[in-house]
Amino acid sequence: MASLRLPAALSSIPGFREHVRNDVLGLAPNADTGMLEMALEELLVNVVNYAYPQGSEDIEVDTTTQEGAVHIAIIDTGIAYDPTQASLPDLEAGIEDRPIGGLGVFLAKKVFASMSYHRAHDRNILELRYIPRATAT
Amino acid sequence: MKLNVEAQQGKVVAKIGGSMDTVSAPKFQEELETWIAKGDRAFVVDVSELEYITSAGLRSILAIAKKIKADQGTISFCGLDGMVKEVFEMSFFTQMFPIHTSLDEALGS
Repeated sequence: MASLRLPAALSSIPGFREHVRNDVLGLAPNADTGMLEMALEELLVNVVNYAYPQGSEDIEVDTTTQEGAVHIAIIDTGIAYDPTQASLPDLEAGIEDRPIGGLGVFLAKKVFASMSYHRAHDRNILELRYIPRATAT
Repeated sequence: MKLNVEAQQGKVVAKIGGSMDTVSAPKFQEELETWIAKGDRAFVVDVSELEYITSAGLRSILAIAKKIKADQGTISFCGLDGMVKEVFEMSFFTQMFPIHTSLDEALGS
């Protein structure tokens, strides 16, 4: 398992993206990682913005590769939040009626093969499974 | 994020390049707001050099589109490719906005 722990700040996101990108490229050297990095970023931005209302602590991202998939765990010690329960945005609405928010978790759910949440020892643990795919050209 | 905004053939063309995320997306919104404030109503967003977008980018686009719509204006997109195209499709932005294959086509419509 490879583990990276950085402060819960937007400036940490490039480091987490690189950490996960390297794992995927180790498994599938020609993989197109753009969608994965976006999906990971969506979930990390949520932690950065909401997990630590009083001061900031760390986020840990653990990765393991197993049977052609990358397993990712995002762990924080902030307030309990289960993104898998987030409500779906109204995708059919027109420009005027469409709500501004809610797309980040929606996109992440589309990109990851699975997403599961549990809380243990006062930590949020979000487990993700990603199956690399070839470049779409 | 690179952003170049200029008037072309009676429309405002905003060309975005690089990465449009939580940190950079508000700049797009602020810049286009100044053009709306000046009275411009017809906008084309060229994303042919945009390589990466997150929901923060989509939020800025939607917020600007709401303002333009409220003033009876128009906004269309051209040059969608790669993950940007995929994110637009997944979010149904391709259904919500007119999408053109090239800038020429967008300016001609």
